[in-house]
Amino acid sequence: MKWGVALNVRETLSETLRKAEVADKGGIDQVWITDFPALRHAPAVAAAVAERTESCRIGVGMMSPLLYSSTHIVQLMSTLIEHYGNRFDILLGPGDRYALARIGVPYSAKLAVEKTVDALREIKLGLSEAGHRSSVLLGAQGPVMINASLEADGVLLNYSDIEMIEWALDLVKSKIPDDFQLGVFPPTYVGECQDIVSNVAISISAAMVAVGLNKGVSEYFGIRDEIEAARLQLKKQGQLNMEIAKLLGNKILERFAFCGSEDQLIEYLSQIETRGFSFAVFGPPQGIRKNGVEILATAKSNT
Amino acid sequence: MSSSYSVSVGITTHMGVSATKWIADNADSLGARSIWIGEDIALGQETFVLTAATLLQTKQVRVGTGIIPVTVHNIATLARAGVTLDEIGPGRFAFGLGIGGIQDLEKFGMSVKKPVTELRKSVKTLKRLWAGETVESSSELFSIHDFSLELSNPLDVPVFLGVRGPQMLKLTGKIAEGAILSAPFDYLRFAIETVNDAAEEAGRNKDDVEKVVWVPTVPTFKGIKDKVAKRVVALVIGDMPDAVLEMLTVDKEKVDLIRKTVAASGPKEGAKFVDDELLDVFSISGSKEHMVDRFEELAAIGATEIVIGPPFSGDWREALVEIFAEVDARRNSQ
Repeated sequence: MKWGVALNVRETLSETLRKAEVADKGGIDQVWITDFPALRHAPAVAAAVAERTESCRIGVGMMSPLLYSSTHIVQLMSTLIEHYGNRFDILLGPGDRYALARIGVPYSAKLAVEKTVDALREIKLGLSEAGHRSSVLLGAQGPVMINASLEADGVLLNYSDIEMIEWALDLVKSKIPDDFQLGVFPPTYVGECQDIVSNVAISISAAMVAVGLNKGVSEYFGIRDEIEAARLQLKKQGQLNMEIAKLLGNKILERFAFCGSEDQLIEYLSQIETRGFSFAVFGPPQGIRKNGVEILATAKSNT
Repeated sequence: MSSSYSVSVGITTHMGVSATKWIADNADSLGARSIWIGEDIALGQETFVLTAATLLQTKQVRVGTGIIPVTVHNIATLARAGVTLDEIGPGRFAFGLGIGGIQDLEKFGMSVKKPVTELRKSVKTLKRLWAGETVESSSELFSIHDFSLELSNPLDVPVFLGVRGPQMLKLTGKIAEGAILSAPFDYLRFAIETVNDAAEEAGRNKDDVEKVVWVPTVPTFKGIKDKVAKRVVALVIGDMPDAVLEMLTVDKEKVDLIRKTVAASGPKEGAKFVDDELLDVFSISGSKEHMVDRFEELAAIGATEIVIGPPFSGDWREALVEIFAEVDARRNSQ
């Protein structure tokens, strides 16, 4: 099981570089440099991370094809590889509709799917034609994107719940190509976690993923009313806060995040590994925490 | 003669990694003031990654984009890239912006109805974001709502504008930290005066606005092929606004023919009509002594920095070394 950590969420560049070095030296396999709504530009940060690290793979993204053209994404990946070697992978996904709306990027469910799927094909082709061996991964939640991910080199599901993961897997099980990479990318907090709602950072991160869930999927899992209520509040208030997270409640938030001890993390990873998953990227707040990467490196060394 | 100007190197995203890496590796030791990176839209290396890599590879030189067209990037991406590049090379990054070349924009089906207004709004919005404000702003090309970079300290990213027309020059004098100018000598005199006058009208000191001159440099003493130089000059003529061409004492019919040919068939065909006179008007070419003479003439009319840029052909590495050495030798002999 490969371990990854998401950095460049709200940290300064120097903090991201420090954490990337800790991850690299601590045996974390992948460092993912998140892009918008992160406030620093992922490809430029990825260049700086490559300069400061030696062996970890560097993921760029999630990058939204609604914000960047396929040509631009191929170009930036090629430039990174030509300068720093074959260490880079890319994660594509439509991105957060509310954040994109704030910077004038039009979003509709149809447009998001169409553009992302077209970009996935174009970017895979473009990188392959350039002779680069980067993995092109798709971030997915709902059935359309999960099915679309079969054209990618792998998928990252951004929920943690085993029931939901099994459901996602059932959608594509018979069609999964050889060498397809199955991964999860849930908000993560490794540490004392009796009650998720009492931890603001993980609650907000989990709520952010939850409100983006497709209506059909939320209906299927019987959580549609709570998610719709939270989404309505988000629309009214403009940004996620604990009031909205509390509307979702512990049970729903837990489906979208990992919050638990080191032992529980290892147990969780073993559960998903038996289901065919080969990597986990630990999303915020773990990488934002001052010692979050050290905690992961210690946990990994104990496996 | 003059030590009042700096010499820099200009590269473009269309250049190969080995060439841009060599320049980054050697810029400090050559004594370059800056490395300016021009974005050839959708061609070659990605502009922000190349800029980051160049900053990471150098220790002393300023690294600037020269220019990035605001027409092809989301304004939030420009703002975020500015923050990131300033953090990668604290105090060494300069953000060169512009609307983009006429040929490029046409090729990508883009047009801007009010380019001066667009550039003004873009710069104002970027500066407000870097100052730490939450911004609500829109223009012909962008709209942002309730967007902030959540900076704990305001950033002071110097903005340089790649401009040619009179209104753009005035805008630069009013709002930018520098102008990146690319035009024939006769026009450059007018351009520098216009920028200076606009700066003073806006209550600024004209010396607070740097005047960076980037025209094609063709060091024929190191084996550069004539046809390469002519192709670059054809491209420059093809992109030259009417306002600039009207001020020149060149054969207008020939220039028109070149522009039409470049528009219809590209710079390679246009190059067939570029003669030695036009080569001299639109580029700095010849021996290193002659080239440095031209640098000094430019400094005398107010250029603060001269960029040695593409075409990089022939033994261009050695040509760069010799030109910088010539500049140094003249300074030391003063």
